[in-house]
Amino acid sequence: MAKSADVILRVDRVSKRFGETWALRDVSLDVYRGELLVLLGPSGSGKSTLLRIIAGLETATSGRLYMDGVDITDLPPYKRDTSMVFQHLALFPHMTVYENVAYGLKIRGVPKEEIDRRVDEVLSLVRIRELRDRKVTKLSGGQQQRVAIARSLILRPKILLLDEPLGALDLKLRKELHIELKRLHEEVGNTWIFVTHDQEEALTLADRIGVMNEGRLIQVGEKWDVYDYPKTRFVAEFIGETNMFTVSIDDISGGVATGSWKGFRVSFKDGGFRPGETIYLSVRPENLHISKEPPRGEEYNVFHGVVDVEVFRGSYVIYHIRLDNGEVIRVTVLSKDAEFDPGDRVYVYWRFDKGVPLRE
Amino acid sequence: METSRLLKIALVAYTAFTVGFFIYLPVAVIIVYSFNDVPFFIPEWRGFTLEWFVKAFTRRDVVTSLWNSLYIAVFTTAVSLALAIPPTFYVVRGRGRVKDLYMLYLMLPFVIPWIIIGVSLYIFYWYLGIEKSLLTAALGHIVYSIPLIVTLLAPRLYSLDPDIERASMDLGATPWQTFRYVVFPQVFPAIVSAAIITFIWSFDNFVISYYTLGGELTWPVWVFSVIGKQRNIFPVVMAVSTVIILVSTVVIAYIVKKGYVDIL
Repeated sequence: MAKSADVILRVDRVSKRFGETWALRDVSLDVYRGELLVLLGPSGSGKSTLLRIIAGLETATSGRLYMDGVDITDLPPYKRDTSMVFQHLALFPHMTVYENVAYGLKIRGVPKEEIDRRVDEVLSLVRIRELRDRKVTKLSGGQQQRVAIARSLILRPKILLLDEPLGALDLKLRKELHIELKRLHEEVGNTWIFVTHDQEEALTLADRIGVMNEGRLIQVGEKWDVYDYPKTRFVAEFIGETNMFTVSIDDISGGVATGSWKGFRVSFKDGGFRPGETIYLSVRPENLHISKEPPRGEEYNVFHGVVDVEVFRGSYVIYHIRLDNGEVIRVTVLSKDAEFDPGDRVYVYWRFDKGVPLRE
Repeated sequence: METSRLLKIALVAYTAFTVGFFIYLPVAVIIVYSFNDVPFFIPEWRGFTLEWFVKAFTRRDVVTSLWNSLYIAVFTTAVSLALAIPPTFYVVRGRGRVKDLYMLYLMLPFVIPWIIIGVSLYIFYWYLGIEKSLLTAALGHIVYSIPLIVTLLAPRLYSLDPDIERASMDLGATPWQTFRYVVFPQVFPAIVSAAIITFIWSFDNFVISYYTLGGELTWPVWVFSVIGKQRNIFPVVMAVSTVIILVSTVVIAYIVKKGYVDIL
């Protein structure tokens, strides 16, 4: 899925300081041509600041930006081939849909016939052609959303920047627009950088995800990789759900490390650890299994406990299992296989290689 | 529920009555009696005449004073807007101590009584040997109009989303184009309101004008100079007042109807 080494934007060790606080610390990132990169992080993680620096709306305290190899660090926003869809959309309230969308072309002095043609084209693309002459203040949230995207797309920017543009919409509409945005990205084919704090949104939309926290870019990669092989506890816990075990290692042999977690023995793939080291082991709830009989085979970690709570989520069920050491872990099971009731004594197990050991 | 509704009606009615009784009624009396065929004011109808209007607008001093008032009000409004709009942006968007001090500096004339502005300018002009004229009076008006306009425009500017300007520049507009096509149209109604209020204030002002005018009088100062001193001047004043009231009503109604204004 990666568009190989075709880098459209290189962010090179960018830092940003606001007064005493560092909003960004030494962020480096390559954005590939045509991809949809999602920057994911909690609020205050610096993701919006990074986006604004790429747009030229903020200046970096240090570091450089290169677009197609050209240094754009010092270019003002109106000279950059990027376009931004703002968090609160920032539509021009005194203008109609047409005037909003035509704005960028009008500023560039494009002839009126061409503006008309391209406005119609882009409004059809985002499926609001019939709203052409309406006042933007009279539109619904979802419609305004489409106007904001059309206003940027009409300029055919090399990179489209989206700063939590769906934040204000309700969940159902957001889910519809996620699909719509995926389709739009496929159709337009340019590069998108999408900022969000919603991990589900990130997983739905992204080709690649960059996870940010406290001004740092912690991990960038294909979304599957980031989900399956998080680099830190923060990433593992921020994307998806996980069970986290703090394990002190006491034995390493044959590529398998073994240690103890609150009285249970736990094994996992060795990642160059040393005996005596303490690591965090992340195990996704869907990689855990439950049964009334112990599993056969050597390749499993097996815990024993009692079903505490059952949470029905439609297509799947989350079991909270109280283990014999008193800790509670979560296991997801497809509803059709969910044959356990609170109070049942069960075995919880997973394959050694499904646990991801993390140093930090 | 029912009591609070009654209370609301009572309060609204009470305000309506006060405004009506103390403002509209006297004004209505003036308008009606400016057509009364008596050369002084008596609360008695003696027949319809336009004589006072003819007399008023053929008197050179009346017409000149009106032109002078108009001149000062237009000059004050235009210059004050030009001087007040840029710093309003700074006051609204700026940050830090310098901005706070600047704002204080700009707003202080607002709390200085007119008479003190008037008298201090009177002394100032005399001390510097500046000959007083319509221009010196207009300068006095401008001193006060700047904080007035800042006060009227600032709330509107505060309500603008700065991201809208960023969006404009992101779409390729220079800062100047952004001001021209995005900021100005959004602020325009507030500017019109501010201009109207400044104009009316300046046209009406007596206290500052009184101390800063030279030989040429404005309309309020002229009224002050003749009332009680010239015989049979009252109907002339009433006739001019009637014209002023009717003209301003029509102009304001037109501007409001066109939707140029924030108020109403």
